Amino acid sequence: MILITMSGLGYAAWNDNLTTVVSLSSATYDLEITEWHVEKTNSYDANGNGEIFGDELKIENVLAEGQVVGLQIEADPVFPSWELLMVIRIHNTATSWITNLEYKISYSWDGTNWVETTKEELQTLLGIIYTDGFYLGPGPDGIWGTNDDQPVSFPINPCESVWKLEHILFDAQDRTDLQGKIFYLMIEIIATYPQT
Amino acid sequence: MKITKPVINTKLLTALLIPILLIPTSAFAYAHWYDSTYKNVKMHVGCVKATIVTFKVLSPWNDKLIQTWPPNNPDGDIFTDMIIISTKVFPGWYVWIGFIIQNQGMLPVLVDIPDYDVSDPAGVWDWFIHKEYFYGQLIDGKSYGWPREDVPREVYASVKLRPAKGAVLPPPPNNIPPPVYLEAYGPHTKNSMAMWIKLQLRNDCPIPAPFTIEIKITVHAILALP
Repeated sequence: MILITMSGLGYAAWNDNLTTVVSLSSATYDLEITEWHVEKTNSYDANGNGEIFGDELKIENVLAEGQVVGLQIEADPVFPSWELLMVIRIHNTATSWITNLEYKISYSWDGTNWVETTKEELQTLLGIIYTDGFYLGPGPDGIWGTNDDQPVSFPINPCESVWKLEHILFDAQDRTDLQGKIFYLMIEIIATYPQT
Repeated sequence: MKITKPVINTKLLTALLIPILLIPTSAFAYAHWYDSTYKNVKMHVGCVKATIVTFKVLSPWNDKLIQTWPPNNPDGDIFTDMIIISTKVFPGWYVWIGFIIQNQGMLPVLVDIPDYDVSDPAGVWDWFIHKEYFYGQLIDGKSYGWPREDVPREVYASVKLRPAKGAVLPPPPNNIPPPVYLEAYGPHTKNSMAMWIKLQLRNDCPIPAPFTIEIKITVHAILALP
């Protein structure tokens, strides 16, 4: 009889597993306007009441769920060479995700029916020269709308902000057809997926 | 003289015979047990033990937005059997996950293509692409000229998505077909390999947000029988 005793390590594992768990959820976006100001305008006190802002030029926040998601701007009157230069600070919130920013321009004659357009068409149709850009700041000179405004490198991360500069110039010296008319512009800023 | 026939008590004879017979039988049995061959064989049953020495996650956007457990520490050793990665995705999103895997057991193993097991209520997995690249068996003592002595830096440390001096874009060249044979653990055995996995959500993914998906990637290290 052969008596066999086994001692030592008796744990027999003939394979081993290495596991990686990748938990993914879809990216969603959340932008808000956290600050804005008018850098320059030549609106004037048309009715002589001593006020321009809130009178000839009204700018109001549009709120949704406690966040400023838009600006309602009303200028009356506008005239040839009327201009408005303003900057808006757009914040990509913590619940958002890494994003690019785009925008689209629409116009309307009644404020209800909107037509998407381009900068070129805007000038042809309404005599509006629209220039804009996304920036980190006004640059070393501290003045918006100059050549040293700091450009943004997209995409931007959650919790980061950028400034959008908007310059609207009513270039309508020879556009008598627009006299007495009311029109509406809408600039919609859109968070989009980063480029791949 | 009266001669009497001896009387044999049969009961007594039987009683006497039994001990007579028993003596040799018991002696034989005693000798048999006493003289048994005794073998004491010590068997050390080996086990297969593989581990992730370290890993890193590369994204073209912002690596900090990808949460990992253990924390992403590409320059340090972690030694773990499990990694958890969590982030948000969008059409076109992709990530490269790099591993250094080491056989730490006493037996050689084969490392093969991983299994993918998904929890995917929205059906997004159909729009994912995954591909694996294997590099091994690579350890050879101190021949690689950098602090890590398990894999060449060109298949792991130098692999980057952003331009940098000496950077190698993934996947690094010279990958080999799986399975990868890893020798048993030893200071100068070829027991380590690198693996890269690319995981991508296709650009044309039509599944609208919100959705979630959990992908379990299992790499098997299987005993390599001689």
